Parts: sequence; C-alpha cells; structure tokens
Amino acid sequence: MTDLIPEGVTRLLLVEGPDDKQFFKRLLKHMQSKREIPFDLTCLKIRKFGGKNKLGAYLFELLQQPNFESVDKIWIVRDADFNESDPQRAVGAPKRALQNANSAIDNAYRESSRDIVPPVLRDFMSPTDGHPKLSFMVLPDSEKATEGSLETLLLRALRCDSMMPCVDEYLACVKKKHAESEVARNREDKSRISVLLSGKLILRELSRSKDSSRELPRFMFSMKWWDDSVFDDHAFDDAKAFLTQLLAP
Amino acid sequence: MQHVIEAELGFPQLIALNNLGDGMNRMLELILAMYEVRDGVIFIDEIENGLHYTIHNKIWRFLEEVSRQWEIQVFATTHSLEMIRAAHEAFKDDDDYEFRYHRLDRKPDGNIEAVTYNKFGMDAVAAFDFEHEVRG
Repeated sequence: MTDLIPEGVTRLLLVEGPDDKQFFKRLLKHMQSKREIPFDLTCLKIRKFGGKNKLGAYLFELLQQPNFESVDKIWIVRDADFNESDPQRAVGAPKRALQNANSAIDNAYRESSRDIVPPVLRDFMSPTDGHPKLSFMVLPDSEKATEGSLETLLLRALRCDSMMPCVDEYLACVKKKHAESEVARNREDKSRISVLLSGKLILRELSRSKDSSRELPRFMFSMKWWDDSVFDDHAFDDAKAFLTQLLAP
Repeated sequence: MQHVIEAELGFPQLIALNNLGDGMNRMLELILAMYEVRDGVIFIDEIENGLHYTIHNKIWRFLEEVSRQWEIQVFATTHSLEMIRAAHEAFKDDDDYEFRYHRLDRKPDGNIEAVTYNKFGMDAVAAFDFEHEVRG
C-alpha cells in the first residue's frame, strides 16, 4: 500500500510534480547545510499532488488516511500559471490560484469522512487556524500581477548565468525562423530552462557518456548541474521562509 | 428427483451448468439469492470470487439492473481493488451515482475506522491510481 502519511510524519509539503519535488528537496538540503533548518527531517514528507486540477482529490485522499490526525501542518505550493482566459488580467494569477486552492480544500473536506470544518486560506504564506494548519504559496511569487511557474523563479536566480545570453539568442533565432508559430506563454520559461539545461549538459562529461540521451531527463530533475551557491539567491527567500514556517515547532 | 440446470451455447447438446465454470455458477447463485430477497437487502461476501477481472464491470452493471428491478440494496465485501475500480467505472457516468465504497482502516490507536468514498472520492482514487490495502 502507498502509505501517504507514514507513521511519525507530522508535516506535509504538497507540490505539483516531480520537478517541484526535486527543487524543494535540493533547497531543503541546502538549508540544512546552512543550519537554517533542523538536520532531522523525518517528520516531513514531500508529496506530488499532480497539478492544480487534482489538488482537491489529493487532499481528499489525505483526509481519508488513518494517520491524518497526526499531521500538524500541510503546506501547499503551486505555480501561479497564466490567466489565459482573462485577457484583461482582472484578477491576478496568484489571487486566482488562491481562490482555486480554497475551492479545492472546501470540496475535499466536505466530501471526506471527517467531520472537520474546511479551513479557509486568507492570504499567501499565512497558516489557517485549526488542526492541521494549511498554508499556501504560489511560484514565482504572490505579487498580484505576477504570472509564471517554478521555472520563472529558477530563471530569476540564474539571471546572471554566463550561458543565459546564448539561451536568449538561440530562442530569438528559433522564433524568428518560425514566426508563424507562436510560443505559448506558459511554455516560454520552461523552454528557456530546457535550452539552458541542454547547454549545461554539453559542457559536462555527461555528454560523452554511453547513453547521454537517457541521462537528460534524470539530469534535469536532480539539477545536479546547479552550484549550491545558486540557492543563496534572494529569489528563493519566500520559498525558504515557507519551509522554515513548515518545520517550525 | 434431481434438478439439473442446463445452458444452451449453440452446440448440438445442452451443457450442464456445473460444467461451465465457477463464474457462471456464482452468477446463478447471485441471481437466485437476489430473487429470494426482493424488496430487501443482500450481503455478498468476497464478491470477486470466481469472477474474471474482465467482466467485473459487467457484473456491477448487472447487479445494478437487477437490484433496481427487484428493489434490493446490495452490500458486498471484497479484497479486490480491481473490483472496486470496476464499480466506479461502471457507474461513474450515471446521474444518480449510488455506489459507496467503505474502507475499514486500523488507526494508530488500534481502533478501526470506516472511511467512505462517494463519487468525488472514487474519482480521486481513479485519478491517482492509489493503492488501497484491501487484502486485509
């Protein structure tokens, strides 16, 4: 059985997918090395909820677990994404994400077998009352007008990377040569990161390995090419504060 | 006098039902038992026994049809997650989704707790391919 809440786990960090999970694992490791959080993280599990449309279903399944009552905090992270359906940007992407999360929480709690009043997220990174507490964060940040994803945040931290001008030049060339094809706004930052990773791969011994084509996906997820100092960038301050909050007594 | 139920399968001779395998006998057993309890309830233990997984979906549809016709409430236990998923698959598009999955869990304090899955919950089970321990 997949034990969603193993014995001893009191903190849950819910992220959208495998990239987010690897990112937060790396960030936690870095924070541990800087002694910003405790060394022992056995109380914490990072779980992938599979994207914004599945948050309610995932929370429901957590609520149905026999160990649910032993969880003290559930912290949720998702991408702000893009307001494709709202060209006027009347509601900022982060605000919309918050509304969606509240709706998912409400559904999950009401449909579950537990008699708990659904908590309401009032603001970003602001824990709810009750037990367990819930808190919510969007990437890249919670500024009203900001749109984007984890990749947007990573690009902020990598803005001074020496390979960035090559990435921009390459993508500009692709766009120019295929002017008829529009690059979806939600793919732009992901594309930039993919190109950057490919460049990093070329510069490493890895490219000479027997099966470099198979190495790429694993390489991307583990982000081994990242120098640890990247995690000191202020772009990650909110994410660090969120994790510190989660691990606080 | 001994009564024998025979099936016509398109062969020159009729085939005695007990030669058709456990699944067919199990189905007949269920139909006869349901007829017996019209306007009542039926408890089916380990409903999956003798039934091939490829027909689970059809079995649920059949049970629903018969139980509506004879006004029977069906309670079934199972150790098969496939059987549970098949029920959701069979009923998920119905306007009146009446299937409920109740799972008995042992809590950390040793007590047994029942959790119920309605359509919302079964959609969640389907969405994540979660492994539910149903083998007891």
